[in-house]
Amino acid sequence: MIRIQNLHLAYRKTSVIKGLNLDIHPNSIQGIVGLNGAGKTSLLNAIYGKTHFQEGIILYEDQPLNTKNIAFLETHNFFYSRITGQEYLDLFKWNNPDFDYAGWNRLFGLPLDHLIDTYSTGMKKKLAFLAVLSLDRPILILDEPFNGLDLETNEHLKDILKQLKTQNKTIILTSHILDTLVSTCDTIHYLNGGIIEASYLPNEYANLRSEVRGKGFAS
Amino acid sequence: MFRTILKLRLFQFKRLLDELGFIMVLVFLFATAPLWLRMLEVSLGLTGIQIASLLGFFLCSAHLNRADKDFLRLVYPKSWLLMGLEYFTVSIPVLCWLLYNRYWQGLLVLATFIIFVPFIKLKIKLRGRQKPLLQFPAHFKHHYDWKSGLRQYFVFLFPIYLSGFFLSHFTVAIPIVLFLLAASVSNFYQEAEPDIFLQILGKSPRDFLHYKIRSALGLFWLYCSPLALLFLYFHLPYWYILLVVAIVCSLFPTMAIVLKYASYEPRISLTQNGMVLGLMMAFLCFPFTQPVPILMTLRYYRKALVNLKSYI
Repeated sequence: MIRIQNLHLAYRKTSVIKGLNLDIHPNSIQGIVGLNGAGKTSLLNAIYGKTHFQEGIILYEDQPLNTKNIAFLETHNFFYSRITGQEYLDLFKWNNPDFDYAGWNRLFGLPLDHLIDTYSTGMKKKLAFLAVLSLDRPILILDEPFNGLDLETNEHLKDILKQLKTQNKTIILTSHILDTLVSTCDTIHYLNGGIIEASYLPNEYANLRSEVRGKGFAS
Repeated sequence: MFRTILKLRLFQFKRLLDELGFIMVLVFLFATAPLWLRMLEVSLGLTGIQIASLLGFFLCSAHLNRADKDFLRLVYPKSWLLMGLEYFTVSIPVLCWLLYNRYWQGLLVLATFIIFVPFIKLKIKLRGRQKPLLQFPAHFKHHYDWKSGLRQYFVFLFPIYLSGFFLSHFTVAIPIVLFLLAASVSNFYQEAEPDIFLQILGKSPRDFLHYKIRSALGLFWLYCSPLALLFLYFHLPYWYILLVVAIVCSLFPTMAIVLKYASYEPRISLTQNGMVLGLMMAFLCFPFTQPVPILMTLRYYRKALVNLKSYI
């Protein structure tokens, strides 16, 4: 289990996370929703150890969470210019030489011999996701993974996430599109005012919809 | 709008002063410009026109590389005026120096560059090519910076490399070619990869840094050793020149790597390092300032080790 206790995070004088507490159960898909600027990405960065927080503790199986347990898919992915998809994935083979890139790519249909500069936004997202998958780490943090994906891949991604859950992975994801979270997540946490205001189980998703209606979410 | 953009520029400059220590190097460079210009004039025997042309080409290169041209054109139709003003500001020390020494022709050359460079609208595009022309052998597998850099600069690097072979019977040709190639390779280290690239190698900060330097020098000398051998074949009595050039050319990528990882943050552009690197290279050209880049390399090496601890 990932346990976040009394997390405080501020950028200079602007406080973003204000004493947040959250328990994330293992082998589950956990969604985080909130308005723009609510601090979703900051929270994910804090969990990943990318952003230093001022107060609080983040534990994984009762030990301080180590970055090496996490694979992080960021909203905007970085690719070196003028390298091909295959060359990008080759880097990750160092970490996991047995990962079946070709098999996974049959699902995504990426032209791996092409330069990444010529990929569409969705193709870049798929490539980054493939790399994240190959890391084979127990925790997956996915910031807006559905952004830019076509309808077919969207459905593939949902299936993949459900499949990963059965392989003992803990998945934390954010999305601005409530429908994608509702159809994927075991719990959805509503981040507001720097804290988790409420957590919803699947049978309470109707309440979540009415709660956030009119607050700027697409559904 | 003109005033707004100028104000924006001032804010950006203030933020740079607040956040970046290296800007002090630029301020230092700006303040000591007359000294450097005099050194260029005396040590390399450059004339006023040549120094003005050198800065002019630097302005051209900066103009072609700047990413905000389209934005400026969009928000301010007379963006050439704003860019011209910026190039004028950067050139003030050289303009004053040319004026002081009454190098009127040099002044005219630099003024021409300042006036006309903002109008250059050249763009180099991929032209829709999806598959790369340049494929790499297996030993390039993990050197993403080299793959990316070689593909980006191939058009410039390959003719320089070839000219080394064709002009090898001239004593100065190969040292100059090696110098240019090493300086170009240093440009490969101006993009900061995501931290996962650093972590997947599973090395400590020290081992990682040594691995990067070792592999950069290995690749550089693997491909440049034919030139070095050719130099020895034709000009063996001048072997000591090759030794000096080899040391300097090995220092360039080393400096670029330690500087990159000293200021590394995931996914940021490190093009500003090019200025510091340029300064370090300039120091290497003058005998009595040569220890400076070596000391700076050591300092940045230590900084890189500390900085990398946050990411590996």
